[in-house]
Amino acid sequence: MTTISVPVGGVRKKSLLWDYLTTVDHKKIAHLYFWTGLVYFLIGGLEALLIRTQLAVPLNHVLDGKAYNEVLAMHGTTMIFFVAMPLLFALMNAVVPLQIGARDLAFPFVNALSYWLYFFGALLTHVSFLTGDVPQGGWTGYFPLAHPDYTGYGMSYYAMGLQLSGLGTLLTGINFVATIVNHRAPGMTYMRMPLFTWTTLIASILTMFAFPPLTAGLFLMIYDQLFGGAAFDPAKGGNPIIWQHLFWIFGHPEVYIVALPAFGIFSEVIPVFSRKRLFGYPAMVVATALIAFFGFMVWVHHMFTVGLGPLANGVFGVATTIIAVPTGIKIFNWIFTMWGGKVRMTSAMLWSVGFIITFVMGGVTGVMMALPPADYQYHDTYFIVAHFHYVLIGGTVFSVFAGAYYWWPKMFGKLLNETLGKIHFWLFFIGFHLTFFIQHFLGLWGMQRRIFTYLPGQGFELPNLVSTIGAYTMALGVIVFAINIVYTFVKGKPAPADPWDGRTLEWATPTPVPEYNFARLPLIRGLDPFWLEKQAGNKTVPPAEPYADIHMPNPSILPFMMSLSLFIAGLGFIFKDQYHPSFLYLALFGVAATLLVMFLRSVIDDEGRHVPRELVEQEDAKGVSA
Amino acid sequence: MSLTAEPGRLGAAAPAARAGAVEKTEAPPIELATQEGRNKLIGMWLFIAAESVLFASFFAVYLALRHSTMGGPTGKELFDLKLVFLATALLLSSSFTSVMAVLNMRRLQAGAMKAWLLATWLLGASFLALEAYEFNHYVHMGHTFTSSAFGTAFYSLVGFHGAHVTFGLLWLFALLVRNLRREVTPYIAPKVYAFSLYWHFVDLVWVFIFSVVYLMGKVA
Amino acid sequence: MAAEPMFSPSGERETKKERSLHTVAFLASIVLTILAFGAVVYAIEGGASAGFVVAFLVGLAVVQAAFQAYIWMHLKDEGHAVPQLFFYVGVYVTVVIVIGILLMSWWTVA
Repeated sequence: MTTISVPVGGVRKKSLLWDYLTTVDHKKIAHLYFWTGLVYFLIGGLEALLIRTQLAVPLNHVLDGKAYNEVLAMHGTTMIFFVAMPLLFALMNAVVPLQIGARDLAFPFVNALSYWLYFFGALLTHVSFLTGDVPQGGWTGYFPLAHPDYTGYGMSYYAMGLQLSGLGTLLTGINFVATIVNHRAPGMTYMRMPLFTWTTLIASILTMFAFPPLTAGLFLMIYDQLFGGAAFDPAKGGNPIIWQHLFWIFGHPEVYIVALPAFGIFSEVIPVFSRKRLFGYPAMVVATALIAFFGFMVWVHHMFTVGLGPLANGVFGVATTIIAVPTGIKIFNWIFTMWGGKVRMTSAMLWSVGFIITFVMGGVTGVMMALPPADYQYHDTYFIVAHFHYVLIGGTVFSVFAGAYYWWPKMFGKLLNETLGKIHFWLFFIGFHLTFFIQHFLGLWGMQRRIFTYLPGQGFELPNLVSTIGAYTMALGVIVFAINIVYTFVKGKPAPADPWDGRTLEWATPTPVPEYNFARLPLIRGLDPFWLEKQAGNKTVPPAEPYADIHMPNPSILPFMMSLSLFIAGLGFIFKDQYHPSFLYLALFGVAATLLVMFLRSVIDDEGRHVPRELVEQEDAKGVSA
Repeated sequence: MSLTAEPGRLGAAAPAARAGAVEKTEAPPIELATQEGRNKLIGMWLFIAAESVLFASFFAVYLALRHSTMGGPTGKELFDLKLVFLATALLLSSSFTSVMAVLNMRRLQAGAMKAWLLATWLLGASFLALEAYEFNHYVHMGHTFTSSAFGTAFYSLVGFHGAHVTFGLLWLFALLVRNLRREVTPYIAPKVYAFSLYWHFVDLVWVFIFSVVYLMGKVA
Repeated sequence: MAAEPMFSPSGERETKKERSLHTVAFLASIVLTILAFGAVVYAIEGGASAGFVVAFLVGLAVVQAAFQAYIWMHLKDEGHAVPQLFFYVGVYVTVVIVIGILLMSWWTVA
């Protein structure tokens, strides 16, 4: 096997841009996911503010009906696909390999490909703003609304964009499962894995099995929109209910894909800041697996009012309520972890405690809606809107903030400012409850969701105004977070390797983490390995191997090129109907370019490179941790 | 699932056997010699598991829409059993030749491996040609992608399988080009093995397509 | 490089055993395929009820798929615990999706 040695003293200096375009390092890909996700978070948040501004007073005209539908559809799509998942992938990429003692993911090249597919998928969806045909069919893309006859080609951008980023997500899921199965350090058994790794594993399994139905549905959607297909067209014998099934067979597990890693983050933060091991670790693992298992048999609860019949509704109603049991187990375990612990109310911990309160409320309304007769009352009202914002913001967004404050020092080498962090939390937390608590009642009072305005004199005025004020308060919180980030990068001091007195393996690595993560792979001797070693009087986790050359993957521009080619193909397919049939050639060019890049990847050998032992030893001596 | 803290109960390999920490007692077959090879085995299986759900979705859509012919020809009128049997025999044989290729790869017989792979390619290409002929025939009978929901669902499912065959042929072509003059090494073995897994999976899906689409279409 | 990758090429006996196993699987698949086509021809000529033939076909397809997966794709081999697990989860999700969509697209359930 050929060995390309890197000379001692480092590689040829590359520009930062080229470095990030070609990187296959999970830590840098984590940065890419994080910043891209944050940008889309701001865009999605801006859309939310537009929605709330429009609804602040009755008969408002900030947005007309069409613009409102566009902003609403893009808000939902962006927040789920281009914010929640990428931000969680950012944390997974940054942390999971470190937590299990791996040098990178199982497929670093594919990891880069996943990111660029997400990047170009999100970009493709947002190109719609330039062409004027913006998605208007909601993030659920129901037919016939998703057909060009009704909403133009906007939903084609949605379908193509999601197809691209969905492919990336699927590959990420496969990648993390393979990594966690194959790349655990010696002694890191399944039942010694930190909960964040566990939830990443199970969420990745869900991704693997939930995204294909969406892929199939999106293919059929694209066929119907751009190629004269008829799967969802009743005039040709099609059936729009099938789209609803495919979407929700994906859509419900998707909720757990973004919720389970969030649970994992809180399960890391709460023990550290309570100075106690996680209460009921095996129960937490089993509960996570159970949620995932039942998650595939509950999708019809999104379709109770379709009229699938009492038996279908009954079975899926019961299955849905069952999910409350493992979730309840988790809530109690977090509370018992804090019980009797030395609780430190850091920013990360504030988000965690705020999560428990908020998520319980969202969970309770979830059980209410799981009962089909009751759901007929709530369906398509603001009650639903309140519910899913309680679980998605209270769960996922809070977890991303908690994770950001907790892992920032490991990801970026600096500690975020705690005072600003607390201001951020309180503004966002109060603003959140102000916005969404009242929406439960708005729903019960009869306000429908997805309608761009309402009439005066129905008792909707004051609650809507309160909700809008809350939304702006949340926005203030996000601004404080942005200030905090800038402040930290400019003024922040370098963080120590283990700033929180951590328990898990990632805190045993030096900061900044070397490219190969571990100079020698660690030997894991129990759950919370770093904590165990510190308790035993050791400075760090013992190595499991002698120093040796470390095999690392080569950077590559091909993931970027492949995603770009698919992006061009996607645009071509839409433009051929939206503008001119000859854009078909552009699409075919994109497909051909994709295949060419794949061919290049196949025939050009890439055996990676080796970091020589001397360099590893030298660097290890410099950056001793703890 | 075991809840005890024992290593590797669920996994393919015990964690201790990695990174040269502990030497395994018996050496594995060549495709599993490297960490990349072991990753590829797991990764390919995960991909296949995900793909099976993708095909399941298309099967479900086809089954739900199979009667929506809108006055066009039905499956019963369209499908020609002789043609389908021939196609099945071709794909089944190509699956067999690819497993023979792996057998020879494990013996490090590069020449025999490439010969079997070439046979696989030719059989797969014949299958594809037959499918192209078949689709063309259907279009002339008025059964098109746009004619009815049945048409869309049929071509989505069977065409998606055909696209998989096409992609597999391109993949195999790249493999053969890359290895035209080379021996079997631990670098290339996992790639051949991953391809053969993919190819078997494509055949496995075809088993359900000829049973559920063609044969059942003839009966029900 | 820490060490050259270790592997052992298959021996003569092992290969012979494998080869005959694969050949048997191939022949069995052909027999199953002929049975399936034969059943349909038989049914078209009025020899068997459609419902029975459909059940028969699904049964044959499952058996043949199992041949493919366990023998040709080496799912039966040692060290395939994780692939087996995911294969079964895939089957579970597949069954849920096909039955779910089939039952709940055109008719109401009960």
